[in-house]
Amino acid sequence: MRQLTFDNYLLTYLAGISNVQTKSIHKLVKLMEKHYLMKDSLILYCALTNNQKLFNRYTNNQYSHLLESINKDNYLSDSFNDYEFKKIHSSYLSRVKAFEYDDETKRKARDTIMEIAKKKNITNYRIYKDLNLNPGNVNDFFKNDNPKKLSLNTIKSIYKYVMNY
Amino acid sequence: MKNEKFDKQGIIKRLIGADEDASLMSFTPFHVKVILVGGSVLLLKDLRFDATPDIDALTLDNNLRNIFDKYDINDRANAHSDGIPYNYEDRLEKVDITTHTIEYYNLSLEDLVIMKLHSGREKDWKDVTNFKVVNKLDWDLMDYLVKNELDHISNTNLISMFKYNYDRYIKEYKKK
Repeated sequence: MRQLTFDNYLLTYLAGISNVQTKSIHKLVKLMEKHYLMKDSLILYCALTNNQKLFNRYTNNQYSHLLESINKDNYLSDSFNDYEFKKIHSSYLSRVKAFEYDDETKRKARDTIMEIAKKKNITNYRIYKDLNLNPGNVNDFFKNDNPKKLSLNTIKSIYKYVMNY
Repeated sequence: MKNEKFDKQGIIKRLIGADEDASLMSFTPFHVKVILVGGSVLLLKDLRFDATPDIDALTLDNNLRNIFDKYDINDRANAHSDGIPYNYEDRLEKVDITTHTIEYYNLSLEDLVIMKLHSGREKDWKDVTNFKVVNKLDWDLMDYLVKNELDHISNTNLISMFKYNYDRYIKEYKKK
C-alpha cells in the first residue's frame, strides 16, 4: 500500500475542514474566507507544492513574504511557531503511524490478556476454538509476540472473552 | 482522496476509540482523567461546526501516549495552561459519552475563552468572537474569574496581552 504523502495529506486536511474536495487554489482560497481554520494548512500546501504564485494572486500578496520563507526543510522549525505547521504535521504522523501505534497497544493488550488467561486457566486452544479464530495466528500472537497476526478488533474481542470467562 | 469531515461525530468517535484501546492496557480497572481544551471543546458544545482533526488536552498520561498519538490527542496546549483561571477544575463539565477507562471533561466555556484571550493568535480571537460563543458566555462569571483567579500569572507579557485582548473583547462584544 502506497504511503500517504504529506502533500496529499494536506489536501485531505483542507477537505476535512471545509467538507469540499478540491485541488483548485482559487476554490481553496474562497473556502478559506469562510473557514479560517484552513489558512495555515493552505499556506503550507501552496508553499510545498509550488503554488505560491497562484495563492499570492488570489490573496493580493497578503502572505507573500511568509510563502517565500517556507520550504520542505524548514517548515517545522521554531521560526514558524506562530503558525500551526507542527500541529498539522503531527496530525499527519497520527494518520501514517496509526499501525505502529496499534502494534504497541496490541503488545500491551497481549500482556493483559495473558495475565487474565493465566489466572482463569484459559488456554489458547479455548480462545481460538470459542471465538472461531485462526489457531496459527492466535498462537503466533501470544507465543511469539507477533502483533501483525491479529487485528486490534480481534484482540478486543479476545479481551472481552477472557474478561467475561 | 478520501474525504473525512472533521466534525463533532468524528471527535466523539476518536475519544471513544482511545478509551476502548486504553481499556486493554490493564486487567484491573483504572481511570484516567483527560481535560479537553481548544477547538474540540467548542465543537462538543455545538458552538462551532468546522474543526481541525487534532484534539487538545491538558496533561496526558504517558503510559497511554501511543494511544493518544494514534487518535491525535495531544497535550501541547499544556504550555499555555498558565492562561487558565486557577480553579478551573471546579468548573469542568463531563463530556456526555459512555467510556470505561478515560473520563473526558471539557474546560468550561469561560475558562476556555480566558485561556484563548491570553494568546495573540488571530485564530483564537476568531474562535472567541464567534457569535455563538459570545451569546453563550456567562459574562458575570468571566468578570469574576478575571478579577479573582488570574493572579498566579507572573509573565508580564502574558498579562499585557490578556489585558489588551480582554478590554477589546468587552468593548466590542459584551453588549452585542
